Amino acid sequence: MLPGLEKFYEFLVLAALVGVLIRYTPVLPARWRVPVAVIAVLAVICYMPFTVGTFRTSQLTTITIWSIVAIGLNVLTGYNGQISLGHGAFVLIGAYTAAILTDSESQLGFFDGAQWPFWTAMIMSGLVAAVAGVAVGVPSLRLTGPYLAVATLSLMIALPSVLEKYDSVTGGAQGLHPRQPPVPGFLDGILERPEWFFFLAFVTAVIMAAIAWYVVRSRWGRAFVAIRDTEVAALAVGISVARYKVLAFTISAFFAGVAGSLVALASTGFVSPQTIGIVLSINYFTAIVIGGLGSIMGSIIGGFVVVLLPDLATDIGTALFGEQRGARLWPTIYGSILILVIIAMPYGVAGFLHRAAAVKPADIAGAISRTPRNALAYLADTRERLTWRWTERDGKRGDAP
Amino acid sequence: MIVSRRYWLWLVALAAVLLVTAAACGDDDDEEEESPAATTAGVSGTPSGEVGPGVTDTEILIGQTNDLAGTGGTPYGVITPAMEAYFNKVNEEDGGVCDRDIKFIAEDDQYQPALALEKAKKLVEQDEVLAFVGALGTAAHLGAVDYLNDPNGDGNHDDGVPDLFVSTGFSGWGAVDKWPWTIGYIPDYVSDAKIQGTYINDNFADAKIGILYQNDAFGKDYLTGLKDTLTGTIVSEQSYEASATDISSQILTIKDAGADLVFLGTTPGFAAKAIVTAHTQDYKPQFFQSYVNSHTTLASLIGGGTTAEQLGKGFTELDGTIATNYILSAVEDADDPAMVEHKRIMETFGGPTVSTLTVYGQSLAETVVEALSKACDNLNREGVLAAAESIKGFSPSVIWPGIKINLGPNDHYAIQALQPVQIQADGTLKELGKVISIED
Repeated sequence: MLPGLEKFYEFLVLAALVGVLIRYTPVLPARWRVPVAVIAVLAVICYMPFTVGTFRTSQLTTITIWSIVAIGLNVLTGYNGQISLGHGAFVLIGAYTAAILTDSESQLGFFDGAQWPFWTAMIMSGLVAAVAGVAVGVPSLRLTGPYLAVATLSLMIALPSVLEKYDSVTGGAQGLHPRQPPVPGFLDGILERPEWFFFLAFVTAVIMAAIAWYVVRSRWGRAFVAIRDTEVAALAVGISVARYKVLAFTISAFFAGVAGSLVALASTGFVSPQTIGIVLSINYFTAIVIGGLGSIMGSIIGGFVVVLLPDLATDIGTALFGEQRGARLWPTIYGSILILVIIAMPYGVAGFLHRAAAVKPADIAGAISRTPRNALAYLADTRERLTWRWTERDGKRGDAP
Repeated sequence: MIVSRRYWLWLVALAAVLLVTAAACGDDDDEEEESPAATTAGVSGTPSGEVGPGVTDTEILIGQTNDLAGTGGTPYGVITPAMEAYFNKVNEEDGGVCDRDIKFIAEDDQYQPALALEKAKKLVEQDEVLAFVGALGTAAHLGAVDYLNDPNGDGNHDDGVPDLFVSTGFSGWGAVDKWPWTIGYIPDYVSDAKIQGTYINDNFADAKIGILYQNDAFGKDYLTGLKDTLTGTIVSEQSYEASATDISSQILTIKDAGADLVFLGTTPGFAAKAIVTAHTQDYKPQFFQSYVNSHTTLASLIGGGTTAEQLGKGFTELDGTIATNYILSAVEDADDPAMVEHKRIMETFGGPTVSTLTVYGQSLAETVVEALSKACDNLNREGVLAAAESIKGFSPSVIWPGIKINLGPNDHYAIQALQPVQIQADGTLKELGKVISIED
């Protein structure tokens, strides 16, 4: 028994342990380890919605959706080296597209008025966001690093006001309440509504992760990485830098758009200009930095971190400072944890796991056995330096007058 | 070789996995005992009526979502500890409600609709609260309201959770057909507009009226309410975008239309700008303004700071402006017995420093206690909603004298009366006539 740990977290620890063990211990042949580890982790997560209750299930849905955004953002930032702090804007565009297409009342005039099936609306959301991605990506070609970060952030700042302005289409500040897809007939009786929403998001996330996995290992992915590492060299070997940079933006926005459609259809069932704010948009970036840049697994870990860490920080705050102040102090604790993680794991959680796996038991044993000797040597050294300083000072004091 | 070297590590880890699995599976037995409903069967001494979720022999659990840490950019987090302080006072000094202590849990929704929904689910399904009280923020609570009125999403409202006294002026909370479990608390903007419209009809019948409103839900609520009520001549209606930086052309248009009374359906920054712009144009109409513009906030915006001198400058400009009020002021009414008691409660029971928001928090908490105390015979969700609907003529101690809360099965707006007040050059508020109520 693990005291004080909720069932939900026990399952997450279980999934993480199973995954890490299968991935990094040499029981299976090397080429089987990754797929088997992925399947084992997915199996544990698939089982969770049936036991952890509706609140945790909807939290898992949120994690899944944010993971899709993080995967897309990682293609852009981790693999292609372009920073976007405004990815929330693409999520919002996707959410509005899905909400408008699945709601016959608020559709634009030139559609026939029939509701789109939810899955076509999801694909369409991705495409609309991708078009927006091109529109942002092309002008952003002239910007790099912090300049690009600020330009994308401004997109996130501007979009909510634009949505409020055209309220005949977007419903203004009160937003839209799209019809959430009902549980399909063949699953009726097997899945409750929250579970159905989770699996809708989950299956989408698995497909999107597979697409991302394929993309980053394809010719495109290699071109992205080449541009990230050195643009000049990439240009010299014949890679069209401009084209691939825009392509990375487009792919990344497509992911965000699909995730946005899930926000509208599977998560809240409500879209307003405040659904995605600047803080959340920056949190996507936090997610991939904490999870691990240039790693799909890292993106998914990042999704877990940004959703669950505020809760954990509140719990820690409550334990340390009492209920009332703990609830108000959580951002401080959250920030402290993020800083500690960045210091301890400069390549994110995924990078840390990879490096930890390379550590051999003999290294640990060696380090432990050396520690007393090192400590003694350090103390001796310190003492020596202090004495040396004092004598030195005495000498100088003698010289001065 | 490699296998044997790491074998021990693998074994230890496997043991850990088994341990976790055992822990995960072993939990099932405990869960059912924890459900509050199971512990309440056959409670002696409590009247008939099945006891709902969140109610035990000793406790009533209620919940709230708010932007507690202020990460959503609002200052309203302080309302929650103020409410908690009042509930602590009720528990310790008044013996609780219905012989039970009120336990109040608040979750931080960071002013995000999606998080508000998630936290609402946590409070309802995991903590099993009896009711939601004083959820804060139009934008945030719109994310949770559909869920609270229909948690299982089957389109049927039978399983709702009482969503009492929502702390925003959005006029939609009273839509009983759509959200039968939701009750608004503060005067909604349409009500404010109607009350001020009534006052204008009675006292400025011949005025030529100009209206400046913000082009969003907030401003349009004011426009709707005024147009419904005003019987005089409206000579100009001007709007501005919330993102605008300059509104002088709107003010000039209103001036050119010859308005001698200007209603400001605006937020504080724009109200200050409008008044200053008009005065620099030597245009001095009678200003009316929304109750969201607290007079001290406006004075500091106009004067450029909160020193006595700057405030004085602000109040000189504001002199004569008419607004409405529904709550006692933390500064001017500090000697009022109710405010002295409020200060004592905040200081004794761990509340925050007294401010307008803590006064508001206490008035809300008092109304919650009133609703719960009417539901003692029927401490379940239907009972609490019915009890809240049965509140008639109730005045929280810190609310403006003469304002009463009246609710009913089809009236889900709590405060629908306001006191017209006029800002004086010395920064005080002068009561104008009586409280105006637009209660049906």
